[in-house]
Amino acid sequence: MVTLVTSDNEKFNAEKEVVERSVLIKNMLEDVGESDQPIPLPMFLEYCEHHRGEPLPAPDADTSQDDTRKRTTDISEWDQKFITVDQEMLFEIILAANYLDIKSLLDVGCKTVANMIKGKTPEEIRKLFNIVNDFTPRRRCAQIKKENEWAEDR
Amino acid sequence: MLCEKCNTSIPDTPLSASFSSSSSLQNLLRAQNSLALFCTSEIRDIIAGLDVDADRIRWELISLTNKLKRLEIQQEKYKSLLAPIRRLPSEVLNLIFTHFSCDPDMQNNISESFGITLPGCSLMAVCSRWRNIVLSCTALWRKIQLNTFLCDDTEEAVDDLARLAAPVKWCLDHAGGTGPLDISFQGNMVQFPSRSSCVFYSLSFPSFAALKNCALKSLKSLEFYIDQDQGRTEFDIFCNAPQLTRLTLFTLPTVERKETFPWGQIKTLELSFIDPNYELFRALAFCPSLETLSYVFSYIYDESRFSEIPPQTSETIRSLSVVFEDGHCAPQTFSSLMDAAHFPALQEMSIYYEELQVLARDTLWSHDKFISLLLRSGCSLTTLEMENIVICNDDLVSLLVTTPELCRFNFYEKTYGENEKEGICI
Repeated sequence: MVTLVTSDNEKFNAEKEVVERSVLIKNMLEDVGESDQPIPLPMFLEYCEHHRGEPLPAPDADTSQDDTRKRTTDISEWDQKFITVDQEMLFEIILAANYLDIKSLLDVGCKTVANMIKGKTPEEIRKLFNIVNDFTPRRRCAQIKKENEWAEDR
Repeated sequence: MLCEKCNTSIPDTPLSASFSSSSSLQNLLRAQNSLALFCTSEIRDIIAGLDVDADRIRWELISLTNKLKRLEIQQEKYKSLLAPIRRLPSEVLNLIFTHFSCDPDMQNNISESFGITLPGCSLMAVCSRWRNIVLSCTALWRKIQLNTFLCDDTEEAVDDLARLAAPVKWCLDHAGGTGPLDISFQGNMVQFPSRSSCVFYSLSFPSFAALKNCALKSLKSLEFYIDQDQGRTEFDIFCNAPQLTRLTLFTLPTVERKETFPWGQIKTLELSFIDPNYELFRALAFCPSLETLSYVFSYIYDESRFSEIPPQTSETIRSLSVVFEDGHCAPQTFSSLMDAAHFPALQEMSIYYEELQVLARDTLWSHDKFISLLLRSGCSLTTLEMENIVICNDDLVSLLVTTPELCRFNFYEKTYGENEKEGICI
């Protein structure tokens, strides 16, 4: 068993096999070796518990693996339910998955965001994510219009 | 008190004093007698004064409204700084855009008829940070669907077509030099066959001319539904695609135009509308490394044109897929083809009969010839898919006995003269 500690000092016990879905934690455990020292990390146990036993991406097969896992934006039913959270939490999960190097969870988060922006206009995307249009009018007119003149003409 | 000039009654108090309160003004408004002449100038002065005050307040209001807008914009910017999405590092945003590009609906569509849709451009217009990431996200620009349905050969139509070159170039410029390209060309360059030779020789389709200067180093798969047998040399650019191994064509080019594609490296070939025995033979001759071949019999074939079917031999074909769309002679031709075929490496085979309901049973499936092909080739079929095949039980059992290595067998029976039955899947 491994003890995990969240940033607000809450402690969780989890099996090594479960937490090793995070490449970061796997590497930490390998570096530290057998130790009773707790490992700090944010919430991700539920996801890893559910996907326990599934094959992990091989560290030396990055390119081909990436092609395979990026092929679709489909998300399994369980993952979809898991990731149905508010925006703040969604991006927290993505950041955590990125930090902890849990590729499958990172993919689920990124696919969710990709699905959110599909078919939306730039203005709708800005509104959705609270992004400010920081293009200066001059740049908007000169640069973007020039680049897309073939689209503007139509 | 009366006015000396006009004898009208005037208020005892000065007029300006009467305006000191709204009730006084109200009393004046309700007064039965009209105002003295000298009062009107004073009222005009008051009105002018009020105008000045109103203008001043109006300007202050505009200024305050502008200030409010500026504050709201500032507030939005500060709020935006706290937006959760800003916390994502660029590489994660890049991954999101890569997933975005995987959706089939989000590919780059460049069509003469339906306009130009590059989903990456929408993302690019969100903000400057997204723009920089989108421009460096090569996956967003690698999938191109190019439709060139030219309706006539007028100058306007040609100009319309010329517009397609720029977005194609844009996509290729940003697709990077190493990742795989996924380009699909669709369209008939000319809608009117009677005028086709004139139009083909007079047009210089600009997209392909633009492609001449672009690297096709990563091109692995090409769907090409444009007739390449019309003396157009610019299609030869695909010969310089060193990784091109998958080719989907309307039909095979003539031997004279053979150099259009790098046939020697093609491993997967999909053909529509082929001249069954002759075309298949040519496909095998064109592609010595072919591993997967699929084709469609889709028109009535005059078998009398070829008295002898050339040998259909390939040492490399592992997967063969045949679809009979229509045409009464197609199944018979396929039967004859099996006599001339030799595929020792064949592992996967798929045969699909689409709309053949009125034919005699014997014309639909030549069991003996198929078994003979398998035994002659000495191949080990591991996958067999048969759909809408009329086959008797004994033949089915015999087929399974002849293919002991079969791991996957999909069979959907078409019972002769009856409705289709759900098949078995082993």
